[in-house]
Amino acid sequence: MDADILTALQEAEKSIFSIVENDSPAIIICAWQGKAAADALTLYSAVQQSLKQNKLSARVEVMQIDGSNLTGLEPVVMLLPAKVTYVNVGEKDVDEIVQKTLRKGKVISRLVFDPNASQPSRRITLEELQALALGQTAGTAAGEQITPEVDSAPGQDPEFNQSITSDSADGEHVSLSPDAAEPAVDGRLPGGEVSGSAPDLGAEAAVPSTPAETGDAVLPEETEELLPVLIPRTLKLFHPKKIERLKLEDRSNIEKGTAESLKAEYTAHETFLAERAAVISGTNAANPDEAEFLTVSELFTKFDDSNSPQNASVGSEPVTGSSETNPETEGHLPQSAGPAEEAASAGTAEEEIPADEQPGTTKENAPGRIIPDTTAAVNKKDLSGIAQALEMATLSDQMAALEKLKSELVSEFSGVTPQITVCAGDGCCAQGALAVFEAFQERIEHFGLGVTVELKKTGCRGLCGQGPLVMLMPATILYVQVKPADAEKIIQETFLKGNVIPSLLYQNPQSGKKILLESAIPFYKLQTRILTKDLSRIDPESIGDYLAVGGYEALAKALTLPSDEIIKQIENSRLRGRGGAGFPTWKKWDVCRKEHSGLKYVVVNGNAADPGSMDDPALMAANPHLILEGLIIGAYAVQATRGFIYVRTQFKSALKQMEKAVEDAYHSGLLGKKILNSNFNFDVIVHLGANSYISGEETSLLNAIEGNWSEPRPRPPYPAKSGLWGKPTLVNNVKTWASIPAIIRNGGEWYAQTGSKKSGGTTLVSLTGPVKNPGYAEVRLGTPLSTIINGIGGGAVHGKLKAVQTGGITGGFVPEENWDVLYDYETLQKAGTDFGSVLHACPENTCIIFRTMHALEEIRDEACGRCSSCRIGIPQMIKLMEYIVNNNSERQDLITLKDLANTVRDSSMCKLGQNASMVVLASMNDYPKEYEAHLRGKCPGGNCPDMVQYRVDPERCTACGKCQVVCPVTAIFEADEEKRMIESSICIRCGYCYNVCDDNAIYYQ
Amino acid sequence: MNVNLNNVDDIIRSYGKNPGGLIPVLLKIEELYGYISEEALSEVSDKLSVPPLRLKKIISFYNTFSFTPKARNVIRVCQGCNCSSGGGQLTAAKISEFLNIKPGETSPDESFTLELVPCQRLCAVGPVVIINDKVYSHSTADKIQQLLSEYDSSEL
Repeated sequence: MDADILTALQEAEKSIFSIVENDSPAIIICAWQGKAAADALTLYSAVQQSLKQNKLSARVEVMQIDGSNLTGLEPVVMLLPAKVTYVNVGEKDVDEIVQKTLRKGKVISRLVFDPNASQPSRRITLEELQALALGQTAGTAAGEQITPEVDSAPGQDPEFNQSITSDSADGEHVSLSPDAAEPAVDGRLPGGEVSGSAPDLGAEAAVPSTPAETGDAVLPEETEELLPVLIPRTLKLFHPKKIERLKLEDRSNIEKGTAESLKAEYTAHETFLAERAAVISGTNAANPDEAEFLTVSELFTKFDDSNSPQNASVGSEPVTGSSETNPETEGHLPQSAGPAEEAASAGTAEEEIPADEQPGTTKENAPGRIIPDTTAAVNKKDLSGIAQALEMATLSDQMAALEKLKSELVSEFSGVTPQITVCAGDGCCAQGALAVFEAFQERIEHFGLGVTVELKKTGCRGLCGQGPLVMLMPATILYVQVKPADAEKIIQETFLKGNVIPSLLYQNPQSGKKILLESAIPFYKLQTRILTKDLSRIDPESIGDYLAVGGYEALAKALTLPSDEIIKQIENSRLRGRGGAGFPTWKKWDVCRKEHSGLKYVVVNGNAADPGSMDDPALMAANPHLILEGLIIGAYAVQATRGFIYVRTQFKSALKQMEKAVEDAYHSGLLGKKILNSNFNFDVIVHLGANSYISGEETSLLNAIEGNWSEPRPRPPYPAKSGLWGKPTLVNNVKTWASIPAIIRNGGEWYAQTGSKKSGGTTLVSLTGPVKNPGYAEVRLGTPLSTIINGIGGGAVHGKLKAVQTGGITGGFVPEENWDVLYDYETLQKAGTDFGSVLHACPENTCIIFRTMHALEEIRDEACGRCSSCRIGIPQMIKLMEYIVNNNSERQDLITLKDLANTVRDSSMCKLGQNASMVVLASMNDYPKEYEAHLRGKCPGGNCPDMVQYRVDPERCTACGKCQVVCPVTAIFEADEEKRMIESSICIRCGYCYNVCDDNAIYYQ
Repeated sequence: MNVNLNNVDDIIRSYGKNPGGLIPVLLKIEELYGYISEEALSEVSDKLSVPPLRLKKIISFYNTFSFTPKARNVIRVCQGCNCSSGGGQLTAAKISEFLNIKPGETSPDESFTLELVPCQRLCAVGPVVIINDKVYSHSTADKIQQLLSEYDSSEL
């Protein structure tokens, strides 16, 4: 019980504060038996570390307390002299605690024990929960319960806003003294902030300890720091009118335009539902069988019956509760079913329909048989059901069968069950996403919500810098940097009560305000999403999820088309190879198609050679079926019988998901013999590849697959004529293959609309370097570079950016003044660089020569050694550049370097050697001044140790100590109490200190 | 080194029959044992009828493979351009100094192997250090050193 917890906390506080001296700063980690002790151990080292980094001194003590009542709150940390107790402190929080609370005396409200947040978890029994479920989901009752709360919000505006303001800044306005905390209580600031003083805790505990049923009266107070924008238990947005009344934009910490985007999202979701409803009723019309519709509704009843009363009420909720959608759903039925019924001469009996509709089909393929089977297939994890449903129909029926399957799957998940999706991409996993997922799993099980909310892992969504990400569907609210401890609160507040927790929302770095919806976050807003559109809906391991978003419909459509029609569509789409060379995809396909050979191959190039290209592995891991579908369509178009999906062994998750996808596709009859009952046979092997840069080159890739060392082959013959084992082979990049389904489904013209004049569609780019949102994003071709870097990427983390390197490590540099260049093949080439998926942002203090040299070193290590010009030339170029950066060069070296680069470019067989010299030439062309300066012994970039000194301007230095924290070699000392100084003999000229100094006190010359 | 060749046979059975199955077989053996042993090499050579010398040539071409066994704990420090310029280089140097082994080497008590690896595509959360498949994001030399000193010679 939380009252017990509060008393236990108070007692612990009292006992500890009485022993420990109150005046000097101290961090006390409370330990007791079990997990707390283990946590205390980790925390202890983390605190020591952080203190050292922040150059602060404070006592760190581990005290044993009686923690029998505090389970679930460990680790508990108390701070002096602030006299504040933090619970559930993670290692990540330590820095913040040290910096905010210890240094500045500010309370971090999210770490303070909040009796309100955890109250229902302790209090509600299962019966009560059931009662709650029944009460809240019984039709309009939910709306009425919530309305007064929502209405009351504007009425309280002054106080309301005030309290929000103070909350927004992580409690920064809250004074720590007990005296100041008391008015705060009157001003409805319950919970967290108050626990600064023990007596107040007791007072607080009395207020919210009323039973959950009467919680309505207390609700407005409880939710002050929360935004009640969702319908409880559905994760759906309230009606726009209610949202309007919330006056979100008056709340100082919420981004302007939020109400607008909420409304837009609401309407979008409504349209989505209506479309789905149309699909469901539409399939009925195609097979005019009233029983079909009944199957769906029967499904609901079955769903209701088979579950406990609590679940039943939730299950039926979308049918009765969302009154806006359902009239439409039902309205669609008679309209669309009407003409179809006429067409089928109003046939209602099942036996009559096949005779009318499908004269050619045999009895087994009759739709009458399909209907029960598709209902059986509704469990999207049931592969045999899916396979059965697909096998039953003949080729001409495949579209309809897939549509129907889709509608069944859709009605299973999107209309009914709210979802919490945790991003389990590699980036998020590295930051603890799996722990978050497990915490959700545990909490959902704990509350017995397994049926009412679906928990799902999805692939990487690009915003890795903000991970772990948690998305709430269907409202599309994105929580960032979620910790396992937040799972409880998200379930309690957001799912059960419909309140959004602002502290977990994305904060716009420009305005400092919070953004509610995923689509309103600039990172996503500025993207054009075709390939990544459905990532938040798809569990990569589930083929059902992919089918539910319309997956494999393009394949079914393609199988009914002649192959030249498919290639025509691709020509119309102006799709070009996304690997970088930009060769028109259709031409390649056409050449391969026209080859006469019994055996042809198609290959997915998933080598993603360029360092930093996160996009290809991420897409393979997030939506493997999309690539597979594209591959099957391609194989059909060129009549290939075997496909290879080449994945580097280093991309473990991509490999795992691709293998699973291929396996599932075989089980569902989407691969193998007679795909979707056509005469087309196709087999796919997921090929494990070694980690090698050169294998990204088309012909080297073929050698690698054949089991040789991966050297390039001379071209011509091109692989499309003679590739794997001498047979015609179609090699395309991951992104190219992934674009195919959308083109076939919507038509080439549709796809071409999105791109630039010469190349259609979208591509994925990886953003690396010191930008605010590193990760990968989908942009349409022809997006200005500045939009990608400053808009999507969020601009530089510190200071300014000098240039952006496109086309991987061997690409050219685009200086900031040229960032209006459009991201497209031709324009980038004109700007003297390459099209490629990696955009590396270089900070202001980057020495272009130094970086070019590093790129060359990397290329040298990866070169295959076949061409002597590349094998010998690159090390020689590196040597010349070493002379330059070490201040040993003369003008002749530059001439030699240029000559050498030209030779290597002209005499290397593959792109690797050519690009290596290109990067040298490009840097000489774009930054001739830097080379000149180096000849004079100056390095404008500030990386060359012999030419540059980093210094501290004593006039400006405020001794904040940030530079000392980042210096990797501890070369920064305290000149006196007010100033810092840099010791040149230790400094390695990395420039980190320059980048973090807010006072611009560090300079180099 | 006692090498259980049953596993090698299993791998050859499941991957070797595919066209172009040679490199996947070798990669799987590398993944399982941490290196390509002489025994495994001759087994592959026999079963897939590839001359041993050719196998060695292929293996030495790709830097994914190694001929020497690795320690229980493998520390991989990403040297991709983002991680290395973000401090990864220094981290590697510090670990190297701390464990008193050079990159690519195994410590004398066979508890750690230090490897420098190319870009792991985790640039967004870098610099990364991967210890036995567990990724440590935003790592610094100090953090990893602390981690290693706490778990020195015990299982990570």
